[in-house]
Amino acid sequence: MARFEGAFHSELWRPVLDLSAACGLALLLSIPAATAVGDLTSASGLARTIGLDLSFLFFDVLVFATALFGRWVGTAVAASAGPTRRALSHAALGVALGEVACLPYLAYSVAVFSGDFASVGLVLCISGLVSLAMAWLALAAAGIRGATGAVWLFLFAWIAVPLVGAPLISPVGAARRMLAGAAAWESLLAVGTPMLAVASAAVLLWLRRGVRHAT
Amino acid sequence: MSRPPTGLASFWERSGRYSRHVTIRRAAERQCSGGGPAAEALRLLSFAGLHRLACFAILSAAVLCGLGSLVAAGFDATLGLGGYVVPGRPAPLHVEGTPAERQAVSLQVLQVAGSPLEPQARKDVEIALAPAASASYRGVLLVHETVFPVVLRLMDADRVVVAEREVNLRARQRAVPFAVGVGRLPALLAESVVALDAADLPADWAAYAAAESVWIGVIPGGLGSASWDALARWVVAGGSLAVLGGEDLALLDAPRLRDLLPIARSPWTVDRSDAEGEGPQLREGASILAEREGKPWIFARRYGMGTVTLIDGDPDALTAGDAEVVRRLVPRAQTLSLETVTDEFLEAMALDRPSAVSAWSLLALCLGLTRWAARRRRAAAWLVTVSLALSAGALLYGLPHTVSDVYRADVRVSWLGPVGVSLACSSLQSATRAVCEVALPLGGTPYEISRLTGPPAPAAYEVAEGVVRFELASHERRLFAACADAGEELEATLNEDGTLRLASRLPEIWPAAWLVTEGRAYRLPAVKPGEDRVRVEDLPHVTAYPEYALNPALDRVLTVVAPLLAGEGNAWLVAGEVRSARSSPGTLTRVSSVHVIVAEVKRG
Repeated sequence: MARFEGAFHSELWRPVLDLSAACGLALLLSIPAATAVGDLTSASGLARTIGLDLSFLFFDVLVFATALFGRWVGTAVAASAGPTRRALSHAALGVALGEVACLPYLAYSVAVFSGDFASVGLVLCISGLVSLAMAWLALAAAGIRGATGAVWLFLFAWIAVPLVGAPLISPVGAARRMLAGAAAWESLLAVGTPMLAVASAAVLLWLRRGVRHAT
Repeated sequence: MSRPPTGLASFWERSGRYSRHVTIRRAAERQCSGGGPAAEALRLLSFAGLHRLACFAILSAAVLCGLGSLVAAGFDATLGLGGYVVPGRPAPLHVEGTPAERQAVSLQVLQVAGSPLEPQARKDVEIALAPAASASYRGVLLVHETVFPVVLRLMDADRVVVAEREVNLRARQRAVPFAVGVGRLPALLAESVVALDAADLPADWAAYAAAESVWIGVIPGGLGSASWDALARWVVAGGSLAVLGGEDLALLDAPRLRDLLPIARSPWTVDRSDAEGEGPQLREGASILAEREGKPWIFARRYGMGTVTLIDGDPDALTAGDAEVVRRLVPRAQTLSLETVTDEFLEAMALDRPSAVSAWSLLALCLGLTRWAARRRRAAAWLVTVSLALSAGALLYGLPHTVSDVYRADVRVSWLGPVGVSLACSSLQSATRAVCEVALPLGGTPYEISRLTGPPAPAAYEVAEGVVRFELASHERRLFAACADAGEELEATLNEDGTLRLASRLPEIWPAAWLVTEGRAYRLPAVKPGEDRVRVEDLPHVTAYPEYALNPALDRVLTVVAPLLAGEGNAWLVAGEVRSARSSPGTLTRVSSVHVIVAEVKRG
């Protein structure tokens, strides 16, 4: 662990704390408030009426918050080390630390989601890949004028726009689909999309010549 | 160059004759001027070509429709008691198919609930058929609405429609349950009943749900034992049977009828007994409702939850006033309904879920951990280690409190006796975000009780060997009921010396049981399989039945059953149990069930 100490600099802990707080509060809200089946019917009826289903809130927040966390990690690593090969691994370690901080919530959420380990595991995988993609994209965009705005635009477009027509493309939509019971091809598409984003971010970094010639 | 047709010529162009002329002329022009395949294709798109294509399409459609109608003639279907139905109540369905090349394996019933001006809901039912060369099904179907016709489809294994038939019920609906008459009835009574052939009497007692009362007149060939048993079961469940006496009643003689009638002696001996001055011998709990010319005329008896009425004397001698009295004295059927109590039971079920306090604790621990780890030298190592430990703890705590996908409440009331009946009702509520498959064992012939409110949704289910299989959508609630036969698995005899003899062939111990007699409820020790004997005077008792603080769900069902135990001089044995279980894997289902059994206590 000592050789990775450089990856976990002091500024990393505040975003980890924010991520932990956001996910914890979302988990609290996603626990059914109903104590009896009768309350469940009225609560879900009300939620449907106003178009809100709080049961997915934890995973929505998890995916979105880890994406933001990844972007922050990428920016921070780029500021300290620049887009080097070592920065790549440092960003990946930072992302992994964020996921580890959320692990207790994920373990707890298995109870909220009917003991569905496979779906929760897939959502963890999706959120990790999204976070990594955003970290590497932020790393690739570091130092380019106007690129920061483009990364933000990409993040919101990726999460929000596909929800309208192709929800599996959006990480939030994909996570919801996994929890609602997805077919094999849907799971592949849900995981494949962030993997493609990670690969694209890696290609972008490679195109920035500095990576190849770094120590 | 030809001039475009106008006026009358334009009209003729729309007809084939002119088109043919034009086509021939243009063909001649083509021969002169030449033209390739492209020109030929363009000419096919001319009006004449389109006209020919349209004719061909119409002819093809007509041939296909003709073939379709030939296929549709492949089976007969009857729905309803004498063809009449009451919306919202089950009705007998009889489908009889002729042998076909493709074997039908299922029967699909398509109904649309609602009306053209109101929200509509599709109510599709799929029933598995027994494998046979010709499709045959006798069962019970819940009729939702009669505005739209009921579509019946026989499907083969590849889900291809083998035959289809529509049953239009709009002209055959009754708003309320109606009286059904079987056999020859006096004209004054026959005009107010729906006549039914003796051969068409359903063998499934649940099929009488739309009947207010069943009147049995003179039937030269009598009724089969299956028909009598079905009628007896319906009466046990709350039905009302009226039998018209007279000399021709002897034609009906059957063991089950003798068991049902309010008088112990064969009815055709009543007049003779009267002549000898003995009078009719009433059964226990039977009474004389009316007399005519100083002689007992109308007898009635509680039988199970229902009533049997015997109208003695020559039916053809009834006057208009007599007919009015008879109609007034024959009670209406009042079958026990478990829908409301089942729904109440479901709504009161506690939800499986982790507590919010534990989630708050987890949040506080995680935040504290992150802050604490940030101050350590090897912060990441600490965070990983403690996070993993917390995760393991969260899993250990969370798994026993996992939220169930489906909550199911089962209520069953069994009336045990020579013609015992069992009424079951199950209400299911989905608490999951996904559609899940449910297999619900109900016994008998299950049918779905639908709510006409709510979003339109197909409600298909398959029935096989008393198990109904269906898909439960997210946050959906569905209610199923089933009526079945029950055997004489529990016998109780109250002897003159004050002892109660119990003979149980039930497979398990029933911990909670009561003897209900003369306004008192005696708490019995557990009813065990085998024979047992208890002294009634030694048992604790209460006077108001069923005021027990046993279990809210059991007490609620007992409250529903209690009025049915009315009747002076009668004694009943009531046993009940409440169970809770959780089934997995696949769909996590929390099941809570209440089962009450009632047996009439014989006098020893």
